[in-house]
This record gives sequence, C-alpha cells and structure tokens, in this order.
Amino acid sequence: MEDKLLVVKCKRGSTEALGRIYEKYKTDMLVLAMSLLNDTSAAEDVMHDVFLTFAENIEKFSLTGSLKSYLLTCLANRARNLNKAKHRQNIEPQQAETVSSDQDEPIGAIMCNEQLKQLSGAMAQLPYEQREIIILHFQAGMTFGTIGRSLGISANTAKSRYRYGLDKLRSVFKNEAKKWNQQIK
Amino acid sequence: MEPADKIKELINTSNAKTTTEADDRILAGAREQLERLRQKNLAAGEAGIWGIIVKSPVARLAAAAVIIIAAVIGIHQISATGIAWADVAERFRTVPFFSATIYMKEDALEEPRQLELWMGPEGRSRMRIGHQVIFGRAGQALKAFDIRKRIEVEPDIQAVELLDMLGNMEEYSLETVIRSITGGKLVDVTPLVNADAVISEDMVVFDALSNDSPEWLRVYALRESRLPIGIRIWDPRDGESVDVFISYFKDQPDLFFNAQAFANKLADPACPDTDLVHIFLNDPGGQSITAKDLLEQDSEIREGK
Repeated sequence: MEDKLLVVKCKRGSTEALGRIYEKYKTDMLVLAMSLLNDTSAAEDVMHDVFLTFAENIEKFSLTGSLKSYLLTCLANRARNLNKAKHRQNIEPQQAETVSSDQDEPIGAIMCNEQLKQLSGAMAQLPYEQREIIILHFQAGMTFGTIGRSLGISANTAKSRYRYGLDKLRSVFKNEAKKWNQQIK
Repeated sequence: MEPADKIKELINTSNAKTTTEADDRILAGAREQLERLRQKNLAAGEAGIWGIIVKSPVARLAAAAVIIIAAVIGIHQISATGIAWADVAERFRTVPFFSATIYMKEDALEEPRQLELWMGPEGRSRMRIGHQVIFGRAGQALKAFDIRKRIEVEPDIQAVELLDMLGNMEEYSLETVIRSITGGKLVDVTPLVNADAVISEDMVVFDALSNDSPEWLRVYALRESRLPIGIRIWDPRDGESVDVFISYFKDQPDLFFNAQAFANKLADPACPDTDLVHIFLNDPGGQSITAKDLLEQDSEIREGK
C-alpha cells in the first residue's frame, strides 16, 4: 500500500518519495547487484541506471505487482546488459576474485559485509547465465518460469542452468573449505 | 551443507552499506529527472485547471472533484462583497464531519460514475469507490476492503491518489485552482444571487470563469449558515462534468472510521453487502433503520403483513 503511494508521489516529482523507495530496497538491490557483478563500481552504476530509468518512465509507470520485484528485475536486466557489454569490449569481469577490501575502495563506495563478499566471490566463479538464475531464484524469489520468460528461455532450460550452477558451487565451497582447513593447520 | 542451503544462508546474512556520497551518486540522475517533472507539473498548473488535472494518472474527473473539495477546504484570503469566500471556508472548517457524493460524467451522454467520501475530525476519512470501502488518515489509505468478496484488499489506486490529494490540500487551495482556471489572473469570483428563483435567495453562488477556455466552476453555499453544499464543474464543449453534493452531520461514532470494526462486520455473513457500505453511519435523517430494515419493511408491506 505504501509503495503505491510512493509511486504516486514520484509521479508528482517528489524526490523525498524516491529517497524512501531507495532506502527501502537499497540493501536487496545491492546484494543482487554484487552477487551478479562482483564489482562495487559496476553495482553502483546499475543501481544508478535503474533509478534513472524508473524516474524517466515514472509518468507512464503503473505498479501492478510488487515494487521490489520490479526494481530487482530491472536491476537484473541492467546487470545482464552490462555483462554483455563487458564481454563485447573484451574486458573480463573480476572473475574468481572476491571483492576488494574496504581500504582499497574509493571514498564513499559500497561497503559489503563478509558474507556478501563470500557470496559474490563464489557466484563470480559461475558462468553469468547460471549465476543469474541461481541468484534470481534465491534472492528475488522468482520461479523458473518467470526467470525463463524474462530471459527468453524455457523454464526447463532455466532449471538446467540452475542445477549446473549448484553443482559447480558444490566444488567451489569444497575448495574453500579445504583452503580454510589448510590455513588452520 | 548443500550448496543451495549455503547460498540461501549467505543471501540472508549478506548486507551492504552505502555512504551518503554513494547514495547521492546513485540517485543523482533520478532526482534531476523528478525535479524536471515537478517543474513541468507546476508549469502545467498555470495552463488551466484541466492542466492540473490531466497530469494526474487517475481518472481526470475524480481528480477534479477532489481538487475542488480540497479547494473549498483550503480556501484562504479571497475577499468579495457580501459573503466572502473566506466566510464560507471558515465555516466549512468548523464542521466536524461531512460527506461528499461525487458524480462524474465523461460527456453529456455518459451515465455518471459515483463515489462517496466521508471526512471526520483528525484527518480521518472513509471512501467508497466501486465495491471497495477504504479507510484513511491524514491523506493515507490505511485499509481497504472489497465488500462483494468480503476480504481485505489492496486499495484502489485511484482512491490512494485521491486520499493523498486531500492530505496535501494546501497544494490545491481555491486560490490555486482559480488562478489555474484563469490562466494566472483572477477574472471573476463574485458571490451571485440568482434572482430568477425565489428559493435561491437563501443561496450564494460563487463562480469562477476563465478568459482562455469555456470551462467554469461554480460553488453553491447557503447564505445563513455559509456552508457550501454543491460544486459543479462544466465543460460546455462536450458536457463533461463533475457534480459534488456535500452533506453535514453532527456527530458520528468513532466506529465509523474504525477499519477493524468494519472488518469484524465484514466477516459476519448475516450483514448484507448494502448495509456494509454505510455501516456505523448515523442515519442523516436521524433514523436508526438500515437499508436492510427498509427492504424488509417494504417486502412486509407488499406481502400484506
């Protein structure tokens, strides 16, 4: 109910309402962005683009479902485009690396806790199409049918990518556990 | 731990913080865009009353009706000879409870659509739109119920916006509306007595006209009590119109604005849908019978009991 009113206020040009929407869904969006991109600068860029597009289209925007789902879906779409663009430019994302420590980040950047660093580091070891499905399923709560529709693939294909992704993660987590045990020894 | 469980656990415990600088960077473009939209809306307001209204995504006429009601509530310092707008407004502000029945027609041949609005002290409101009854406070829709389905529902977006407009009524003062109608210049806002009808000696009529367009706005108020009782907006080009009838009541029970009390009645299958619309409202005619009682009385008469 509150979201509908916030959208109505945004339609009238209220930046306060926009700020309230941002504060409400910021963490969910950042976790999704970091899980997909494993890069704080890129996460900030896609967040910026999502809110800019939201504001640009606000006059025609009609909230039919959940605002959170809408924002997360927009973010996933933006992240996918960014990822494609990076591939086209032959600039590989920071795969297989965890996000840099807080000391290395520019002033005023996004600060991730240890769990988010671990999550985005693990997800970065998967091919993007598997990573996206796993994170949309678990974090955004989307069904394979919905994910498939938004990606233009069948629900079965989405499910297969999900399974492959989980298999890969199993070995990622095993390796991590091994490294951890060796460090303790 | 299975990878799926591990991922779920990591997602649930993941967190990210941003500094004010990062927030500002992320929202910079969107804020600029909304500021441009706000300026555009303000400029549209100068173009005429319909300019204000068409910016609204909800039905144009419903928005018009509520703007006008808000305008009457928000009336300020417009002087005139005899009974002034301000007198009417001041009297209106002292009323503890009023209701407005709003009829909207898209053109002269359309059947009107009706909505009902009740407003009480402390910014409490209740609205019936379609099959929904919506409870609000200070311009916010708090709870909405579908009477036919007998369940709590998301409020009609039109109702949400209308209540919000009432909550921000200072934006829609009569002065603003009239300035908008007249393209920034107050042309003619004069209390008139309709000399053609004797009955109208008890009534004052406030007209607002425009130099730029043929639409007009008329507010009817009682001379003695100085209370507005009707509002009409009319576009002579196609007969598009809004008619608002305002009624006043002395005291209404708190239950009338109590969403929980309404929900309890909603759960009672013995309570007919028609009774639910106005449940807990003291009958304006001073009688304590319900619509159901009237129907039962009527059927008894027909059956010769």
